[in-house]
Amino acid sequence: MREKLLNLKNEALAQIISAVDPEELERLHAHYLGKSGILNQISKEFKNLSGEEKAETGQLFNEIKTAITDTLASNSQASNPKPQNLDLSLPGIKPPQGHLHPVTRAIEEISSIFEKIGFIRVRYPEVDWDWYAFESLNMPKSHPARDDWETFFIDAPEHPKLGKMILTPHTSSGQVREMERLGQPPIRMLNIAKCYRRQVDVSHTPMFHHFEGLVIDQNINISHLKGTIDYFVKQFFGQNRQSRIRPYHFQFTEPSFEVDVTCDICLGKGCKLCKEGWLELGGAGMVHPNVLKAGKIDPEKFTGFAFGWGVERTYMMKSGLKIPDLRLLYSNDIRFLNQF
Amino acid sequence: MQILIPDSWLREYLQTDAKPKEIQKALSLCGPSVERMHKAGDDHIYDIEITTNRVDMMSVYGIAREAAAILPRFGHSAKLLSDPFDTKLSFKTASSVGYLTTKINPDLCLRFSAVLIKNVTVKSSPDWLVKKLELVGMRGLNNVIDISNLLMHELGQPIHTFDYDKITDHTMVLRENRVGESLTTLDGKTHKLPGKDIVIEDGSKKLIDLCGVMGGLNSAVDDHTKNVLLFVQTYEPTHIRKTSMSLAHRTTAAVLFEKGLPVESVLPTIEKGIQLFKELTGGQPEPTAIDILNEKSSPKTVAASSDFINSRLGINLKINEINEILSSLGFTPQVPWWRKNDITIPEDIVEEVARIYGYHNLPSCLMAGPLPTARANDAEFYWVSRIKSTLAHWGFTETYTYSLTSKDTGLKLKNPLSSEWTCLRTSLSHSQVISENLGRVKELNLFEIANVYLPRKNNLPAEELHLAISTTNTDYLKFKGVFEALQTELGNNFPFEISTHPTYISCEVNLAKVLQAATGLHKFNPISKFSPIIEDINITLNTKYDALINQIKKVSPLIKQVDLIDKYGDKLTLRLTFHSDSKQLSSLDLFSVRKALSRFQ
Repeated sequence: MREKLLNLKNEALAQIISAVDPEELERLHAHYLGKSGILNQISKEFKNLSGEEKAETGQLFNEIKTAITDTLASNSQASNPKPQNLDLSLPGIKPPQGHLHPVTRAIEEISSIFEKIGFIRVRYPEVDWDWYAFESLNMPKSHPARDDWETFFIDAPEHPKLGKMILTPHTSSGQVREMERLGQPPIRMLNIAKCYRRQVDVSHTPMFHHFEGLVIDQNINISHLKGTIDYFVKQFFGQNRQSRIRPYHFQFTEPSFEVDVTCDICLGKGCKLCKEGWLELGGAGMVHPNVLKAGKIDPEKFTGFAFGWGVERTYMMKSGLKIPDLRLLYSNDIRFLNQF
Repeated sequence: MQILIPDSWLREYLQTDAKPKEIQKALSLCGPSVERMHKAGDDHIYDIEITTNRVDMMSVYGIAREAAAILPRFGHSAKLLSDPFDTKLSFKTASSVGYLTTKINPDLCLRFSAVLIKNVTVKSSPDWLVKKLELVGMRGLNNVIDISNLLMHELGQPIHTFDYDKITDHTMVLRENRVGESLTTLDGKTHKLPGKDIVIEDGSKKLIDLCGVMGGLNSAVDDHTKNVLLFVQTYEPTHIRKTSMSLAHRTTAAVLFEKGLPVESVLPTIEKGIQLFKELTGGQPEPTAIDILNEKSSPKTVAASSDFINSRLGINLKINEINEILSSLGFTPQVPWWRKNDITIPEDIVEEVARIYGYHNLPSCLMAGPLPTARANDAEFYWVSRIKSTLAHWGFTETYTYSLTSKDTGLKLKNPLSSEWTCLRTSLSHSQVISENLGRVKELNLFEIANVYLPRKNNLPAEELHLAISTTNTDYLKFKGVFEALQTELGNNFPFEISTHPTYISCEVNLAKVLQAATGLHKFNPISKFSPIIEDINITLNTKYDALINQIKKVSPLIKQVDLIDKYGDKLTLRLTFHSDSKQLSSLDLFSVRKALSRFQ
């Protein structure tokens, strides 16, 4: 029976495809699908089949009937599909919809903004030596970030030259690595990676993401850092947002700045949710000469700037996204993830 | 570091026409960040964040000194009314005194100073002092303690007071503690000291002070105290931080000491202390204070040319403008003594000039110049982003799970934060995400792309980018199809292995390896002039599907494609595409092929 049906289908489709005029198609329609057409006749033989066979053949039969009907319809200019009794106000059937994590969305947006002004995205070890994370960044041995309270250390033997093995607490550990990779300026690095710190509360998770910009070339000065930050803030937060830099302190930059963006609620006028109209975005600064030296770049010839900010924090500051507890990002609660 | 500064207290040192709001704005832009301002009656309280390098601003006077340099840049008048550090001392100093026998480890204490004040009356402080302390969040306790707190807040130098008569033999030995020693501090807490803490023992060998953090209870001033040792020191900063952090005892004194205080502020603080003790306790100071200086202090110079400064600023300041800014900050041109730890290189001078000139007054422009050409991981970023969006469009939801796990992977943390995060993971797993989300939605379809960390001997772990996909829909073939479609997407038939779990199925691949062979380039095959012949055949499956297909394809080179159309039990319907590049096939050409195929049917 199956055999017979398949042969019938092959023959029918071949005839329909090669038919050229509407009359021919109409004849084929009657021949196969008509009241006394072949398919109807075959269906009458079903009663002779056993239960199992019936189910099996029935499925194939329906499939073949559909195939013949569809092919006839698509080959015939004369026959239009019959308007069905369809309530067009019924909801459509959507394709499956998944969701990208907000951190991915943030990273992609940030990368594309910086790529447009010539930054090259890189990635560097997330488990690295003390040298890249601290020592080469001009952090004194006694610096609080280097002690057990703030940074995770790996239980592994120390490197004879590069020191302890740590989970990178910032993407700045990529600065000297990028200098080593390129050998000499110009450098325009965008390093985005997972970072780890020993802290967990509503605004901290032990794992998070940083994005780090590093520019080194001749004659780079504070106005370029301001220009780059202004460009990013307007692209990322919107043309109506402003940025400013304030004095701050970091070991690996001199001078160092704190970067603020105008509050998305009051746009700088000052409201309950911000500090006098401004929100802190993160740190930035002119690359410290000791860091350039650690990367074998002559600080007499070249200068640079760097900034490193939290991906999550920056994304949360975009208007409209008010997530009360940063830990929600890594809770992987599907009811949260499905909102993005 | 945070500090509260009442406007009224600030104006005891600073004469200005600037209103509190204007002071807040100017300081935030050019100096310390005034994060908030509270009203307290008629007064305003500035809530200020001080960066760790600027411990010189952790006091009322420190802020006044800074404001005096900044406010004129905003058109306000500003003048310091007095300088408590530039004062004539009313006492003599000597490295040894009759009333105190000392033995000091010079590496631990850069300046050891103290003076005995006799016949004090311990009682409540006057209202003005209590009110002042309350404005900055402290309680008035008694006149001796209140004087210490006032001095620290006003001048930024911590003070300690001992009950002189509780110091056995009036002897002090300042040393590192020995393992196992313990001490009860003023707050009644007994600390087992971790080791290498700075302590003082008295003539009976008992510990009487946990230096720089908090005094000992056994030597504390109480209501019956008659004679007070006013005690002002400069401790070695790293010891203090270590003690304070390991005991989780973060006193203001410790926070100040661990930043490195200048030895210069010690004697002026004693002077001011003596005046207050005389006034508020009726005490009589000894004419000579003990003062042991273990640090050579010499004037410090840092050179920076105006060209250097301007090249970093991107503008052209005249030399006298630069000088004006620097002298407003106390450069003579030597570095002022209160900034000696902080100003060390020419770039530090750039910072001082730039911030007082005002970062907001500097231009803002993008850099010109050549772009770097050596790119790094472009292909990887491209593919990761493409795979992510592909999977999302196929209905999968992306997760970000912690890379830390409680499973022992051989990459252990020395100092984990909690017992669920002790090791770095060597593979991605959705088991927890699945179990936590079961029942929240009908079906979970998840993916994650992240590094796993594979331990290596004497080297950093290998960081390998992995892709994990999981689903609670247990249709195996549907899940397998996702990976087959990914293979097509990546142009790379990478191997994959699906694993089944009680509630879900999942698969993890080493994406780093897969991506090495990923390609967006597709080969072009000319479209044939001849049409194919397509036939469906019915076959009973009695071997593995892929073996069967291989056998069928071997029958004839004319069989270009075999697709599975339908499956019912072991019955398969296959769609065969016959095609030749050289001629139009006819039924006749297929006669022998069909015959050969019949053996499968």
